Amino acid sequence: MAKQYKTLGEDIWKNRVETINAELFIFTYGSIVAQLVKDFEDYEQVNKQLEKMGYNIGVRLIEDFLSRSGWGRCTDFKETMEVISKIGFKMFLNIAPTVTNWSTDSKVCSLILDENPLNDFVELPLDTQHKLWYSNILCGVLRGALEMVQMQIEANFISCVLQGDDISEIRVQFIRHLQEELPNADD
Amino acid sequence: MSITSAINLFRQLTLDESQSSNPSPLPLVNEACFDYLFIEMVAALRASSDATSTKSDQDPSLQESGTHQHSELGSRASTTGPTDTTRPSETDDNINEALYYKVEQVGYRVGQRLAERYSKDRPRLADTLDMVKFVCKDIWTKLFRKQIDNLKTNHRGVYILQDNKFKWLLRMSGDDGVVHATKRVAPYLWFPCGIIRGILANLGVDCTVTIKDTNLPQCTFQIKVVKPPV
Repeated sequence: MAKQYKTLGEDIWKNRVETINAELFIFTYGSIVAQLVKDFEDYEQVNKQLEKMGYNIGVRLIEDFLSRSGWGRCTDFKETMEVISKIGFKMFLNIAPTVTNWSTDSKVCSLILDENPLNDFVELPLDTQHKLWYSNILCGVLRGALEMVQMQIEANFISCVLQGDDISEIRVQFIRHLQEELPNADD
Repeated sequence: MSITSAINLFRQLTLDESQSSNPSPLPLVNEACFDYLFIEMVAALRASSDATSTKSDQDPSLQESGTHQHSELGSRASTTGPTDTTRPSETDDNINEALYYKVEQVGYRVGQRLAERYSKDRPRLADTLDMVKFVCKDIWTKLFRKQIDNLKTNHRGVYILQDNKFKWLLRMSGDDGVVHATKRVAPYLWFPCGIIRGILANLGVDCTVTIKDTNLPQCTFQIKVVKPPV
């Protein structure tokens, strides 16, 4: 099963998406973070802004993901996370984070980012220690995208190699299924 | 197989290998990633302009100057920030100026990095025209897989760069006429302006970069070299 995700993810990456030079993307992201830090002078706020940007991206990106992957409904949260890692991350950033550290009730897990293009060329000042989560935009993307498929989640960085940690880890917690709201009838 | 031919073969192999690994293949991401980020960038910086203009009283030095020509705009925008949410159109202009300054700065920093990254392995650029050509050819090809369509200069420090199908404008449109569309597109174009200025600044040329005109998806940049005071 897991292999199937991987194959599909790689197929989409190779054949169904347009790719660009990652450096422009990386530099632009870095420059935005720098600007936000300068503007807000408060890492908490910057994290929040990055998450918000990610959320706005996520709610759009899910369409792209669904149409390109043709993936249907996932049976449970575990499958969702595998699909996100092997197909979602693969398709956009060409990485596949490891999904691990499941809680016993299968509602909380971790995404370990073995590689993260956003981190390339980046070095953070010492005073950001565990206050600025540089790639926090990813948490927002996860939240926004999953909300569009009726899943409320919370995602947070709990460690990051840029902060001197051994690994970069996003903790993802499933909160609840959102009720599908019927749109108002037209007539 | 004789020894000499084996050696030759080996030599070829190693040569091929060194050719393929140097220049190292550029890392890639899905094009959509940048598009999403590009759209959100302007929105996020607009929000941060609102936020900073409300707290500007305490900190007028916030818009620290990295640029000569816009520092005035920036500081003016930040010192006259409104404190209420319903603001008249005059302060809207100020917000716009602050936004301009920010988007341009973000681009400027990207430009500096691009210049460092891509100019290091090439022969020295002799004069300003060479540097502008470097932007039109090398950088544009790296970013957009095409060169600038037209480059004009008056040989007195003004360069006009025309891209007939500017990639970042391709998917933008509006239903309320060209004038409005052009106005709404403007903040997105301050970003490439900043990039160009950043690249040239990094190569040692002080200049201003403005949008001369846009006719979606065509776009014309104007570079004016700032003469150093004599």
